[in-house]
Amino acid sequence: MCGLPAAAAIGGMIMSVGGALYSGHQQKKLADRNASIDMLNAKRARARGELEQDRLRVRKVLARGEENVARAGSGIQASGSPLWQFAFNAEQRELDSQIQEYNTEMEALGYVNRANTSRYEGGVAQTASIFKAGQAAFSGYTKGKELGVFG
Amino acid sequence: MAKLPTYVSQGQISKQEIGGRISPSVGGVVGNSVSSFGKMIADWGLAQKKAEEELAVLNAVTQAQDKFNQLGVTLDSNTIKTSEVPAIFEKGAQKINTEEGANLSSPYAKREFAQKYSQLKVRHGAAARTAARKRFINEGVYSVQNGVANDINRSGTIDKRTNPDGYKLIQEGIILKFQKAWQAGFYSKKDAGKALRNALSDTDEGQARMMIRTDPEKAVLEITKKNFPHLNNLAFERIAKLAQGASEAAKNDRLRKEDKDEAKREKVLKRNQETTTAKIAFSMMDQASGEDMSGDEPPSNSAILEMVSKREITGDQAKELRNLRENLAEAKTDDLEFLKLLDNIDEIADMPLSQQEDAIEVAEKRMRALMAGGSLEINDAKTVRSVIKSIRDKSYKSSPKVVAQKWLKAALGGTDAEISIPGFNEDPLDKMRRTNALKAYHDRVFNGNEKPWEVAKDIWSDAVNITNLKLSGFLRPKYGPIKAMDEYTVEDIDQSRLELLRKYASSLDPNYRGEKITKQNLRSQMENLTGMMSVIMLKARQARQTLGPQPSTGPGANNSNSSNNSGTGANNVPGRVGAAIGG
Repeated sequence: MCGLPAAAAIGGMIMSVGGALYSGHQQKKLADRNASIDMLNAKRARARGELEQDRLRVRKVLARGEENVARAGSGIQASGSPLWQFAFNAEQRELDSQIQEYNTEMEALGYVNRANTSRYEGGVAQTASIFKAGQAAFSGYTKGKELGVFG
Repeated sequence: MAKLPTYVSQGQISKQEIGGRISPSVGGVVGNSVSSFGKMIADWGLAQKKAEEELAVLNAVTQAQDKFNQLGVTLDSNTIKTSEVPAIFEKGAQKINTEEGANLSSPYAKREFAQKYSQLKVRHGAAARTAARKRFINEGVYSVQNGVANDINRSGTIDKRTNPDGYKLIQEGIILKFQKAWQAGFYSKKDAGKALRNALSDTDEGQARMMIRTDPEKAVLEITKKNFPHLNNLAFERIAKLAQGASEAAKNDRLRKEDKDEAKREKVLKRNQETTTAKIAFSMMDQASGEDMSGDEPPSNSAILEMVSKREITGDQAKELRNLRENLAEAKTDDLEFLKLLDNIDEIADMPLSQQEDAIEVAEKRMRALMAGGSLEINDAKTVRSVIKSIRDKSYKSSPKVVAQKWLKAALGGTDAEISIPGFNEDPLDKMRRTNALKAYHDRVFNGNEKPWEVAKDIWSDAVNITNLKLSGFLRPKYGPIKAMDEYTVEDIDQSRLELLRKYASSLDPNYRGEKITKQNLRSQMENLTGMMSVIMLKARQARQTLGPQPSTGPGANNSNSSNNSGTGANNVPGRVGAAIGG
């Protein structure tokens, strides 16, 4: 009953099931690792965005100072067209700031999304491996049962 | 106004993302490999297990097949009723299933076995039922055929000419049997009809055969008149041919038997006629010799004629008897014929007993013929009868009369027919002298009752004196000395004999390459030499007697009592002569 063929069938089935589970587990583990990396990338992108905002803020301040200096030196009143010019410049500077913020956020979101994808992939791989293991177990069991491997 | 430089950060923040991502599939490589390996092992194990199970199934199926075969054989037995076969088969099949399926554990094996078992069961079940059905039909057919065969045999014991109802009853019984057999399904309608026709034909054939056996000639008529209506064409032809042959054979047998009976009757009649004739002839002879025949006289000539009309004797025999009666008194013996007759009778003594009586009958007939022809006197006829009587009572060979007669004949140069010397032509005068001498011997011994050896010696002495034999009449001895034949001596003859025997002994050697000497050749040469020796001795005797009586060399001279003739004749024969005769 429990001869070499039966032992091989049972052992092989266990190996197959274990291998499948181990495969899923490892894939999930790698996916989680990839997700962690992507989250770090997202964080880093956001940090870079903040640095760029800081630099833009400095540039805005400098630009406004230069404008003030220029207005003062020229005696241009901050009304009428010059005012409009100042407003326009300020608006442009704000737009750059927002664009930069937007870009970094978008970059961070890209990483976050990829991290999520990796996690999802890991979960899927693990789930698939469970099913694969289940399939191997079921197949092995039914065939083994059919042939009387399990007594 | 001086303008202070303003420094704004120029550094670029790196956009390089953090690397080190690894595809998740890489992580599954080991596991997948392990899984695949495990699957391979499992598949191998399962395949092995499946092979084991298939082998077990095969064994079980084989065993089941074997048991089904045994079951089939068991069921195909005359001890099992065909109606019980399905139930017994079902029981046996269940037992096979239980026994052979019990060793199978896996569902796969059980299912496979169940499938094969079902096929086996269906196949063997059908075969068993078919066999049972066939057996049922065979038994039925056998029963019918057996019954019909008995009926046919029984019909052969009934003669329908004397018991038509019994015969008809048997035929009706046969018809009924086939009807029932057809209704029971043992025969198709066509086959039943055919078998019935054949059976009825067989009954008629048996009837016809019986008639052929008992009365073949009448059977032919009955068959020709078609009084056996059930005979089929083949049987009719066969029986007609058989009847024809039997009829002809019976007719031939009858005729042959009649012929045989007739021949037998003729033979008996002939023998009776012969006996009657002999009896009358002897009666006449006795009467003629003066015996008292009162009350037993021989029949007269008229009575003999009457006997002819009654076929008690033939016409020729009557004539012979008449001649005998007429010639008895006047008869004169023909010496040559008489001695020839005695010679013939002498040979009878050497014949086997079974042949002697027939030979005696011939001799007696010859004697009667001589008497009827007037060539044999009554006294000589009595001599012949006396000799015949001594042959019949077995005293002939040892009789001194016969021994002395033989010695005399040999001493006078006579030989038996069977040892006659080829090429030797005896002088007719010598033959006549010997005949006369023997005739004289018979007169004196058989009729005159003188002593045989005295008579033989007297006659021999007289005959020798007149003998004139010549050695040149003989063949030259092959191994004798080269000299004139008349000069041969006793020593020459002895030498020739010795050399001849030596040559013959040499020729018996398988390696001998010289001239062959056959037994016959040896015998003839030895006889030739013996004859020569006899002549030489006779001549020597004659020479001695010419010179005067020589008591020491004559016949009987060495016997002090020469008158003693009481049967020791051989002692009276001169030594050298006796040797010559014996040689």
